[in-house]
Amino acid sequence: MNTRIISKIEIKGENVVKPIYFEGLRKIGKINKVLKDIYSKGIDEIIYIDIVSSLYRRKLDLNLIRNNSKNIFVPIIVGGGISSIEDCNNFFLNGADKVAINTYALQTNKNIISEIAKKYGSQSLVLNIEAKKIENNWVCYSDNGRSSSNINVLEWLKIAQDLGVGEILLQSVDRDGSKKGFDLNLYKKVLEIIKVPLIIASGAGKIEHISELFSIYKPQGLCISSLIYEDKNIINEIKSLINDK
Amino acid sequence: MINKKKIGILKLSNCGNINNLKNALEYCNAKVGFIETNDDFKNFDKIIIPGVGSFNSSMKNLNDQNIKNDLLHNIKKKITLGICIGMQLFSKSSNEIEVTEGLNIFNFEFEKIKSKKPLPVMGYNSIEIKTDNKLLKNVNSSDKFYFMHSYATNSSNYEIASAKYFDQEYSAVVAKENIFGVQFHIEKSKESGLKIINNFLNL
Repeated sequence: MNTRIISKIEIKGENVVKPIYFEGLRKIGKINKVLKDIYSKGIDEIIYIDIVSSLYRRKLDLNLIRNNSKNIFVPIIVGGGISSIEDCNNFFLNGADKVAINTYALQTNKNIISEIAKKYGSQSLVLNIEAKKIENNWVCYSDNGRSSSNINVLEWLKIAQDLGVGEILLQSVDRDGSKKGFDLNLYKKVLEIIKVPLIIASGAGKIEHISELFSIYKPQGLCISSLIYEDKNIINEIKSLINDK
Repeated sequence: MINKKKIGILKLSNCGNINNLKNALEYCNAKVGFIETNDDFKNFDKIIIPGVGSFNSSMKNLNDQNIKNDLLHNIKKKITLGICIGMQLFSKSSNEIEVTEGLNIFNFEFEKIKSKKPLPVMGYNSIEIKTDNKLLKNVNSSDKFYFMHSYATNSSNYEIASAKYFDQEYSAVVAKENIFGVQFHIEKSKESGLKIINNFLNL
């Protein structure tokens, strides 16, 4: 099974934006145009994250996702402010094929993971991890890199797996939008304990970064955003590179 | 070509991505609605049981919503397609979360895939066609379909196509008279998925 090339679409208002190190924002374009563009260029899956809904405890705009996900025939993972089964239900009814959770599970109630998995099946639930390196450890962040916790990334990953999460989106607060390459040390540590499919994100700035990553292990999902926004033809370039391995 | 037959998507309370399925069907010019109560069955010529949901919560909803008997009755006479969990529900049972009895239409059981590789199976895969069937018309080895599941069956009797996850082979498409099941998500498999949707509409 080939590695899926996945793009994370970060939403603010009606636009796709690209935060740098989860902070400064660059506007990329209208949601519908960005989705259509990357779908037509061969993207395998889309992560749709409302980057402000968790932070301001605001509900994601369901009409926006429903209208924009039409005729996009690849799976769409939707995240941003999930705090109940009802939120998941609303996401699924309005364009999500899977849901991603971070803030609420991390800060308030980890058992929501098992509640969602029991109702919708593990395969529909992605745990979004925002890792930041502090001394020699990685710590979980949330609210798109804004809020810290004292929870160790590797410990949290084990707990979430036991609770029934079906997939991990591994992001690095230190690398996201930086184009400096992936945090390979974090990647290696995660590979030692992970039992579910992994989507590795944050840091791809050139093709060599991807080759480097694949020389360690071929992940189930590769998430790239900045590179794709610059050159959408890179999706096929990456596919021919990694599928030879 | 507009197909006049109406497609009813079964709507359970844990129903998952049913609007995405509806969109894909409408993109292929189908007339689509939802089946929420027993009264709704009469409005539709074909039935789809959609994916997303755990086995036991889906069976529980079929019972709680009091729709199971009418569903079984309608499946017998209308062309029906189960997608992912929808296909799994056709079985005798599954051991997802706890052993739960299914609709018992196909004489097979679902079990967790025995693999040391990461589960759920997650991604695009090709299928190997074992028996010619109109549902798979024009499908070939270059077509890839999106799979997302941890439970699978091996059905020698009803399998018309199989898929392989590393060394594990299992049924990807099953058929028995007017009843069909696909383990993958046709609504999320790019052009390959739309091909099967069109075939289903033309059945």
